[in-house]
Amino acid sequence: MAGSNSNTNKRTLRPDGRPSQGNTLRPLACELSCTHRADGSALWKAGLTHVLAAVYGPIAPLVIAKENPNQGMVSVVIKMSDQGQQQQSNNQTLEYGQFLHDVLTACIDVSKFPRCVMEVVLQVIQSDGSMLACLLHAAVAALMDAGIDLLYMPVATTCLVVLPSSLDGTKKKKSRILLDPTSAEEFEDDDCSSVVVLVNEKNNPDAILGSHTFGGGVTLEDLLACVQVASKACHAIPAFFRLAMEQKVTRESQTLWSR
Amino acid sequence: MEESKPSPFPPSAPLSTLGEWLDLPATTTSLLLLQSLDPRQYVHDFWKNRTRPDGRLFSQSRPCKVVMGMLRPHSAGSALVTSTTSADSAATTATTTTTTKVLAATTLHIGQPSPDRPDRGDIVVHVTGSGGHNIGTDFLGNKQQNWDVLQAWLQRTLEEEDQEEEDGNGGCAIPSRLKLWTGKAALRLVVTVHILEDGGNIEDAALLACMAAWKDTTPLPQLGKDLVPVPERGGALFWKNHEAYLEKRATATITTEDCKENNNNDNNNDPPRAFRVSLTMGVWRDPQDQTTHLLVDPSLHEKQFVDGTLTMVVDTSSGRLQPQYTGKVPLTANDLALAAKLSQARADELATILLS
Repeated sequence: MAGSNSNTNKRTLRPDGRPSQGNTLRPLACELSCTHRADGSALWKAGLTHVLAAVYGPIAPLVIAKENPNQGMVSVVIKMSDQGQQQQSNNQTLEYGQFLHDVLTACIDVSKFPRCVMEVVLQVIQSDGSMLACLLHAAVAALMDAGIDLLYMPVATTCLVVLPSSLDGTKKKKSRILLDPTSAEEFEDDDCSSVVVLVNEKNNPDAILGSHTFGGGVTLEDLLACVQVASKACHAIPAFFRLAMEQKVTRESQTLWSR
Repeated sequence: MEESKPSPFPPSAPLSTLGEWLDLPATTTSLLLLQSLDPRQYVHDFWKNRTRPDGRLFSQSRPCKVVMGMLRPHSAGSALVTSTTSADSAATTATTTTTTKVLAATTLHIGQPSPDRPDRGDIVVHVTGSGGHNIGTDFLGNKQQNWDVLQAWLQRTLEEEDQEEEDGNGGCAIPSRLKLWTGKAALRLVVTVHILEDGGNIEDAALLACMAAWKDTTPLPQLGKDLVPVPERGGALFWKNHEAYLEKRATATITTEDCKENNNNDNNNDPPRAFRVSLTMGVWRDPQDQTTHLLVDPSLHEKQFVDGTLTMVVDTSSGRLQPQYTGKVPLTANDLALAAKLSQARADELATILLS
């Protein structure tokens, strides 16, 4: 009986215990103002992926030549925890940094901060999949904590597109889409899967504001299916941001140092 | 009553008078004046009329020329990609032509494969060029061109493998083609990309140059044919006749016909290669009717004023897509479908070069 139960579990549960339908996010946790030296900070946890974000600014840049007189600039620095694969980490860090820079520049109201730089420092404490989405959420939470105006709140959704296996000789079926994959799922069969990270916002969930893809690629049908999955998942994160902010305000009002 | 001083700038003067007032040459046209004074308005005026400053349509790429084998015999493969706007198409606007020129060269080294991938080779990409700065992950907008990000993107795109088709006729990706002896020997492909001129859309030109240089990297050394294993030396390989191999590689592209004959004789059992091509599109939203438009192959001048950038990488063998988008304008499913269609058309167009 125990054996039959374990077989059943393999079919109905993912490796981390979530249902195998693939439309469940990992447990989220967020702590704001965890570092006091930064203007805004956040510790974002999604399952076993932990990211610490700190925002400094808006401040004057150290080099005057880097000022933009028309709008503010966003600087993103990412520090990865994985020291073993140095070269791969460097390449990944560069691409992540460029993507986050572009997304944050689009969502921050930079016209309000001319000649200023907003530096976002992201430290990966622990990595267990869906890293890019966690980096973006941590950065947005830290920006909120710093009180920087945002034009909209970007929400990132990670979808793992698993190509149908053709080893049994049957005709290929539809691809499977798993939401918020862990690193074990991402690397389990990386020749037959692709990771699609989509950025959208709550007020317009059916359209995407950012996209990043790893792996062999996806078909147009799979891409549009990922957009649909992201549109359904994008309501959860802003609600969680609001909850984290309410907890922070409540905590600060109850401390001895508040009036 | 004091007389007011005459304004140095007559409010109703035509632009030619403005040119005289600014001490500009008489041949300067009004369009060039607008381009200098308000470049954003200059570009938007063209876009509102559904055309572009260099005379192209929204869905039209710049003419592209690929020259392969120009560095033989100094490298295993090489390619020069040139994208330039034609002077005729820009005649109505007197816009200067924009040229993007990228040179890629490949070299092969024999070494040991990675323990976690014993049946695959290794790829290393180096990107160099004028104006690039190695500033790590500190991005400061468009003022500095960062070749490190381009290098990381090329490295990842060339390394990624797609699922091979069941019947084996699917394209074989680069790392799989570099294996020699499972677990003991493999090839390392070093791709050096040099940016000669940056006239915009450097990503597409660089990836096309890498793919063309990979196509030009023939023939690959084969175990048993060019290399002899020595089991008592722990998997060491020795060349059977290195000079003959180099001579065979040097004469592989004398003429088109000879090239086809030589390649057919040497690579009869070679599976077809997989290639990836990319198409970069600028995204612009018309403020009047709020419609979203895709501008294929944006020039350096246009890229400053688009509302977003979408790059689609297409695998020529499987047709799968890798969309990369960042911008202020949200893209709907229709926009993504149109972008996929344009990318597939571009891939079919370039496949005639890469698969010939």
